[in-house]
Amino acid sequence: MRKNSVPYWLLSPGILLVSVVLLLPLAILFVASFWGMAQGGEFDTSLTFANYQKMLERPGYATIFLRSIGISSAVTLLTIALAYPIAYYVAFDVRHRKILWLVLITLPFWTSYLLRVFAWKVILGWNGILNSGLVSLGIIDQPIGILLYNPLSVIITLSHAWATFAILPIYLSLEKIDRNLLDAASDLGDSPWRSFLRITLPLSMPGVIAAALIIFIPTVGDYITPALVGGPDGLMVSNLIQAQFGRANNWPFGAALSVVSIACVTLLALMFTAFARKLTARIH
Amino acid sequence: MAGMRRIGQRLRGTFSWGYLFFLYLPILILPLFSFNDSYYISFPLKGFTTRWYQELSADPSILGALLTSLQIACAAAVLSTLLGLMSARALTRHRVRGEKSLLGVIMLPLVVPELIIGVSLLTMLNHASAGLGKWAVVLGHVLICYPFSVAILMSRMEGFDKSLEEASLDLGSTHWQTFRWVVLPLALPGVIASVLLTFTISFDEFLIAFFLSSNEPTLPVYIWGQLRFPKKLPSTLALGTAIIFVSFAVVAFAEWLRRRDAPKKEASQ
Amino acid sequence: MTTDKRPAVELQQVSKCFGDFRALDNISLAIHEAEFFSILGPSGCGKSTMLRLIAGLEHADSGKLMIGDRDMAEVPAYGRPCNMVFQNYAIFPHLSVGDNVAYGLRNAGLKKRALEEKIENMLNAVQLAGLEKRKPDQLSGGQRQRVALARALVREPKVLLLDEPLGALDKSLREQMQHELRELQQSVGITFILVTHDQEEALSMSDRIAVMSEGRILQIATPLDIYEQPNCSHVATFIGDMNFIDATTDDVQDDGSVEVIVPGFGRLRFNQRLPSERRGLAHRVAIRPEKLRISRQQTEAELCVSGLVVTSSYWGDQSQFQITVDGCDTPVTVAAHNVGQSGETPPARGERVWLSARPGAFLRFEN
Ligand SMILES: Nc1ncnc2c1ncn2[C@@H]1O[C@H](COP(=O)(O)OP(=O)(O)OP(=O)(O)O)[C@@H](O)[C@H]1O
Ligand SMILES: [Mg+2]
Repeated sequence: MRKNSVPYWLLSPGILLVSVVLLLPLAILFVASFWGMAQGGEFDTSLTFANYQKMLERPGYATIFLRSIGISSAVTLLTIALAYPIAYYVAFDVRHRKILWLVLITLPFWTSYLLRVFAWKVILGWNGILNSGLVSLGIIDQPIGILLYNPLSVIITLSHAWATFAILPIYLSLEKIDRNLLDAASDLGDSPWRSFLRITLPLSMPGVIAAALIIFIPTVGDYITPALVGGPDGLMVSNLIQAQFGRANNWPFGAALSVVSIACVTLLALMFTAFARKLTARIH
Repeated sequence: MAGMRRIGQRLRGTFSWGYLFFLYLPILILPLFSFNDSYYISFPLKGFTTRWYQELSADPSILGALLTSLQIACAAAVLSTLLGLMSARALTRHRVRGEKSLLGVIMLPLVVPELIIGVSLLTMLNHASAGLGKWAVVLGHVLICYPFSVAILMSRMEGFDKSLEEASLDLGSTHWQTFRWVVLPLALPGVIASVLLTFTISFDEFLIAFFLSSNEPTLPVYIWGQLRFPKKLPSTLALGTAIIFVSFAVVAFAEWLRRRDAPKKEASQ
Repeated sequence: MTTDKRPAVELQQVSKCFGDFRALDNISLAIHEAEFFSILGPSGCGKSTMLRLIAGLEHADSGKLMIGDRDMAEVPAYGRPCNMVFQNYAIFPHLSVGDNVAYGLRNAGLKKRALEEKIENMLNAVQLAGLEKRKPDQLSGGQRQRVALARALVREPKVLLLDEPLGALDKSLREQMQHELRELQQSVGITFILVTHDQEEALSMSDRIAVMSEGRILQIATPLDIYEQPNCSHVATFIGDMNFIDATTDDVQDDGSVEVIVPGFGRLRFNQRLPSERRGLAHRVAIRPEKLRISRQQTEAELCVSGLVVTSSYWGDQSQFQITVDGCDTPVTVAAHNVGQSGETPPARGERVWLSARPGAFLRFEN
């Protein structure tokens, strides 16, 4: 039976890594969320629900949670809506240079996230590139203030940052579609638009669903973007969490915020998957 | 109808090029203003200069951060690729019970926000009274790089012909020699791609390093600190330009390597 | 003819299961030294499994495997004195032809000079001289096959295992390679074990053949015996064509012979008994198409019956007919070599003809 154990030996270091560096810390974080702060910055390790109570009682926290979810949902929708045409273009219209297109789409994703977000701050700022460009072109005579430091700037920046993650899964599901089906549909008298609605779109739904999950889950917990371009009105839950581990120095409360945000995201993702599964089941 | 299709194609083409421009816009902005002779990052451009780059190379703390980042990225790339190679090998060659759920566990670091990874590691290390620093960052980076390694190497190794390995055994090579002489050479493009990509991920990562690097800041953490000082913005742009340029070169090479054999594989099916 | 030699490979009651599926069921066989041995059987009957077992790429659930005088139970694949030519050749795509052939000698500790010489000789032997720098994807199917052969032979194994090595080649190349393989085996003088589902290949190349079906060995014999004396109806149908006719035992004589009533062919006498022989036993007699002679006139032969031509097809070197013999429900197939003068037309559909045969050409099988 030595032979059968080989794959488990090969897998164990990786699984151990995930267990010790991810799952165990998450478990500890969960326990820490029931701690409190004692005098002098020490942890009070007796278990209490105080952190969760605090979150429920003060309305500000709920607002930030809802805003985070709202911003992420908007980012998800916008990114997918923008990504679909380009994925469609590469899958169906581009013939010879597919790999070049794919590399071009993937490249920005691999460059520093921090720098890309920073660039948006530079572009959208009061004295930023967009404003100063428009002013020097004479299109506007006063810089526009609403470009930066609000939820909209967060949404724009995030949908730029996550574009690759929407395009690739949608492209992959479009690429898988059997072209004969489309020929058959137009042979049966469907207009291009109808055959898109009846065949292409439903068959690409797995890619769209994957893209939605891939974008929604991490953007709820994004820190850099709201910190750099969000301003006070664009703050998200991760900024709150970071503050507890930083300035506010209330780790247990930060842990509780983390636990709630993970729980929210997981719950929403599960609900979305269930909904999506039902939807695709209806189509087929 | 053919005309309508042509128009649709044109529209999509125009949109796609526009979108590509949108994707690259911020990345093009950085180099443009890194050569602009002004503290203010705004139009109109003031004139060409390289002084921000000179300022950059004169700053010893940047060099320190760069060195730290390089050390961490090298360690993370090598370790995560090694782990990824083992896991991908197990999942592509052997029949593993519960393969789906194991893969789910492996991909878990992808869906947990880096902030949460950072603070949970911080809490654990603090609780264990372990010190922070480079090695703590390496730990976090290996974790987030590992799923990428597995995915890249699995896609490379999935189509491997099992009989090649059997032939090697049959020709008198031990299991280890078979791995060295047959499996590894065939997987090599995937291994290189994995090393390069995980290197870039680690090199660019900010949040985990922000929480765990303590008094040994990585380059992104250093940059984050600089963003507070308006006077430092142009040289930060210069630094960003340099980083992005190198990332581009590395990643383009890795992508090219990874996709090079893809059409061939399709053709032989 | 070679039965006095000690076996090069011996399997004793070997069984192998994949899950619930019995791929090899209690196999016993002995293959002699320097023998060209073929394993023949339909797809999925366990031929490759048996070969892989000998090579050490699969492990038996029970039973014993000997190569030479050594028990192979504890010997890994890389320690066994046999080498394999794989069904898809399994040429290493990242190595040149020369390096592919040299692969099996990496552990041999040869000097560079000796190694090169060996490889050159081997490549000459399989007619690949001058191609050692080529990459595998620049080779034709036949050339790849030769590389696989050279790679295995250069290790000078006691036994060469070939898993349908010619299956991927076109017909003329296959025939040429069959010839070359046989010559090669005779010149190197080692045991070849060839797996094939091509009966002509097995018949023309082998010293002995094992016919397999569903994980079992049905018969092991020389090509001649397999063809002329199949021990069961499975073997008879799998090798060549065979007419089967339902028959009944009429009488069992004291001297051991039996009389059988064969509809349309009358009363035939056989010297061998079936295991469950008794009066009234329903069974089948069989005769190969080419053992029936067709003619327009009645002949002097001991057995000569008349019938009607149902179909007649001309195949160039031979013609085939379906004929319903008077008094027999199932039509029989008859093959005739076209040796006659040009202009002589073969019997056509609906024509009345005579069939003659030697009574000894009939075989008998239990139902
Ligand atoms: N690794 C395996 N797991 C499960 N079943 C297997 C495995 N290998 C072979 N089998 C089964 O065992 C049986 C025999 O397989 P084998 O490859 O020996 O057939 P074969 O006689 O070589 O057929 P072919 O002529 O098609 O190559 C088949 O039914 C096959 O499905
Ligand atoms: Mg086979």
